Amino acid sequence: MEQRIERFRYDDAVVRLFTGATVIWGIVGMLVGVIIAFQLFMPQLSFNLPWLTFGRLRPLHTNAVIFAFAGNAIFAGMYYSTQRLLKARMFSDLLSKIHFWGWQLIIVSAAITLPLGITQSKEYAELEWPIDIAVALIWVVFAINFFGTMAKRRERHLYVAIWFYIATIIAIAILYIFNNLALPALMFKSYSLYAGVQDAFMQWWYGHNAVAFFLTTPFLGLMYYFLPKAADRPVYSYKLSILHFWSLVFIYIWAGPHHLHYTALPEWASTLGMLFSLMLWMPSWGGMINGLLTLRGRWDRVAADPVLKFFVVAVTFYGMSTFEGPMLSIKSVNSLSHYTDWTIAHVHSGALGWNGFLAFGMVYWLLPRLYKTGKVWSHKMMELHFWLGTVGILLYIVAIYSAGVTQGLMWRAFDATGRLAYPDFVETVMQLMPMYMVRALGGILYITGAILAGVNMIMTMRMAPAKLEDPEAEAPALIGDGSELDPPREGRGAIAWTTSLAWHRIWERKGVLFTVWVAISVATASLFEIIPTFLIKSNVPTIASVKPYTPLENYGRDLYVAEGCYNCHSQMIRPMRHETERYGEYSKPGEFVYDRPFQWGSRRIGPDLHRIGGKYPHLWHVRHMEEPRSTTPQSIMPPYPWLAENDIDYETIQPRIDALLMLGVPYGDVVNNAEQVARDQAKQIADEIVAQGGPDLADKDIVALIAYLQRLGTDIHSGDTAGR
Amino acid sequence: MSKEILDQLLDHDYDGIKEYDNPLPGWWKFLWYASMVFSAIYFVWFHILGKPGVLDSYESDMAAFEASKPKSVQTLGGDALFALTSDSERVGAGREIFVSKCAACHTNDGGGLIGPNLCDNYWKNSDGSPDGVMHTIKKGVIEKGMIAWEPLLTAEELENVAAFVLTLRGTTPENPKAPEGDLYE
Ligand code: HEC
Ligand code: HEC
Repeated sequence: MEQRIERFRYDDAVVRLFTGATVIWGIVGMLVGVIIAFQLFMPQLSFNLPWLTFGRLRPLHTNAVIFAFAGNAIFAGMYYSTQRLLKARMFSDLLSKIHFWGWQLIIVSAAITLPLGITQSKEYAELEWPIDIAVALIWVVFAINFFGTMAKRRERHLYVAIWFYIATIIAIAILYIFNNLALPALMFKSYSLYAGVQDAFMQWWYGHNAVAFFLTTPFLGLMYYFLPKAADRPVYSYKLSILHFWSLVFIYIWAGPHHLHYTALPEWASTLGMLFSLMLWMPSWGGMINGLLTLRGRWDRVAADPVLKFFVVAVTFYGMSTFEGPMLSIKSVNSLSHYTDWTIAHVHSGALGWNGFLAFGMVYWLLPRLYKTGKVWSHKMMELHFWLGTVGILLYIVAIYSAGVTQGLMWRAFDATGRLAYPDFVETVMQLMPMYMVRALGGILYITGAILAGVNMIMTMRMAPAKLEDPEAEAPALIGDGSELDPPREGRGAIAWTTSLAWHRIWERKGVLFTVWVAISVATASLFEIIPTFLIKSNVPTIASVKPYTPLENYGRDLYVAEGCYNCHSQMIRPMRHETERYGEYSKPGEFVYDRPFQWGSRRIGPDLHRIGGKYPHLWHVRHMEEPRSTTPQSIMPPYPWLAENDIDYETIQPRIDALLMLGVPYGDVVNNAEQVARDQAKQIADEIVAQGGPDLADKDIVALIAYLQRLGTDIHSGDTAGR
Repeated sequence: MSKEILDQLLDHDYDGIKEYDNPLPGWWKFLWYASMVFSAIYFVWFHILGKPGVLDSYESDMAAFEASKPKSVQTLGGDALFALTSDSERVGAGREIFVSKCAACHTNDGGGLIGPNLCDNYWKNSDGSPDGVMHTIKKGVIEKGMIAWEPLLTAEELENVAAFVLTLRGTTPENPKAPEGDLYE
């Protein structure tokens, strides 16, 4: 058969854009991280400004490093490698541009809305509904562009990196859409379609798999392209690629509930989360083995080449954190680690080590190729970046591991008389101060390295020739379906055929079939857990005395969400003796049926608040919120003086209640005059504050917040709520 | 498997990247299968055979604890407690506790803020006697926002802070809160 050779050009311009954005947003995201690290031992660094408080900046940090830094890195690497692995220019230059600029616009809108307190409060899914829609649209643009390129490819078979990209695109679309389903009440305020236990389940199904399909699969894809390229060595084992790819895609999805051990989530779900995490260990290590063993015989080169050094450390951290992940999902380990800094240490060994170092290694490999300079401007600076980064990570994680274990042990310690050894929560916080300082130092080292990368990038760009032409390539067009290349089937029994994995070669030339199988794996695994969680009534036994929040309390709850209090406070008391001694009765699933979104939290920088209702007089809260150090001298909680200054926006109360009513919250008569009901309750509370000797705070935000706080966790013991 | 030849190149070539046909490492397969077997057994054990789970172990932990726990903290009372008010060391220790844990509501000098003035002769919850004051401190007045300190302080700490509170009577605080409760001389 005569093969026609086709000539075409790769689009490197869009890769250059994504690469630049990676470094710039990386520095921005890490800077926010360093600021909040400092705030944890210098709370005055919020300068009494709403948009500088920890609760609002922490989501900005996580979103910026995940979606802006890692996101742009993924896109840069994907656009570069996909074109080359498929031997085709991207499907549409226009879509590439829309993807790039659309994504940057989303990042900018996140950077504006999050500090303003516009948030859904679900971790890594904080962006409010208008931005969510934009994210979904841009993702579709990206998918069309990617699959369009796949359709016009000139490479018969799909390489393992492409498999991982397919999984990323499909799974993130499913996860993002279903976790973000919400009913808008106002332009920038929506209520989750799910409530309480189910909302928590959906969130961590998403949250865990954002780690899986945004920070793992795409990065493995990048590893499979850039590591063998940089090392100039064949990939260690094709069989291992097949096996660890499919097992990751299928198993990861199940593991989400390990974020909710000992909570009000049904225990069977939490057990599945733990077991699938354990079964995930070896599949994850498959990726590490394939990465590290690809470097066999090249270790001499690793010592001399900063790019390879970044890759080796990245893959090593991938191995470490995918060992630690399964370990932390063992229930008994989790009982110590959960809510402490241990989780934060785990995340950062993954994010700074695996994602960060892989991204920087890739950027350094790409720069001379994208800008046709032959080399990166300064080799020494790359070396320095590598060492600053490595020492930075080590300081960060060692300090914060010790912080986590220390605090976890202090929380559960009893003295000889059976009394909590540290009944005062702040005592356990004070212990962490030195470690928080070391962590901040580690962060500074790491970001200094990133800034060096920025300088190196700009200087390399300046060395570039005036005109950068798109590189030319040629490849024969594909003719026929390629079935003549399939491995022969004859003489192999069904079992031998299956275990030989030869059939996979056939899938690899059928892009659509391959994609469908990925979608099926992800969807099946999800439905196995989602359907029972939603359908089995006994998962959330109803408690008759639990009633909806009043319009004012709901408004106060929305303030709690907007201020991001969940970043420091949990609302989920686990059934453990030390927790019930410290906080009161453990939390029951039926108590959260009106919680949209749920506020269980994931880290206790401050104490649990689920049973805060009635613990203190109103006036205590007034003074504490205005300046936490007036009631708790060592507190690291930021002051919230504006709550006593801003007026309750009564006009928005009715639409909020209307939206909740549409979601099925039984509001009864209240629904027709929500605003008046709220005004009455606000007056009553304001009067009580005055009676306790406090200032007149009628109609101020703080009154609504106090209404909410005093209600928290009290329903379980009240016959009715009318007399409250 | 062990007889397979290592580093056989496959005829794959993607933008110059080649792949070996190496076998799966034996230890890798072993650990993976082991994790599956363990998971199956674990699930059957807890969720099909119904062996005690998280809530059961909490209940038994609590039962064992309740059985062994002293019912209430034993502290000095009456004259023995009052006698501590002349022990400067213990009153000093009591002052420290008061400043760090009570002052948020009662102010440093006991003049009162969220909680009542402790320097006057008016008392809401007891007759102001050593036993009465100790009782309020231990049990608190939960619905009014006074914390029950018994689970939070040791016996000695309770005695110290109660002794300090008893020394406040008759002192003149900077910003005294208006008297609340009944007069006891
Ligand atoms: C930087 C983390 C941080 C943020 C953000 C934060 N807090 Fe706190 N919070 C703490 C710490 C630490 C404590 C313990 C020390 C103290 O009492 O101030 C605490 C204590 C509390 C307490 C007293 C709990 C008790 O049982 O004594 C309440 C109530 C509270 N916070 C409410 C809030 C609310 C409401 C918000 C959001 C508007 C918020 N916090 C935001 C860290 C934080
Ligand atoms: C969260 C605020 C708060 C804290 C902290 C607090 N108290 Fe109180 N305290 C109150 C309130 C409010 C009352 C009044 C209760 C009432 O109205 O019956 C009170 C009442 C009292 C009374 C009884 C007064 C009377 O008139 O009967 C004593 C004694 C007392 N507190 C001692 C202490 C001691 C000692 C501590 C520290 C170990 C402490 N309080 C910490 C809020 C507090």
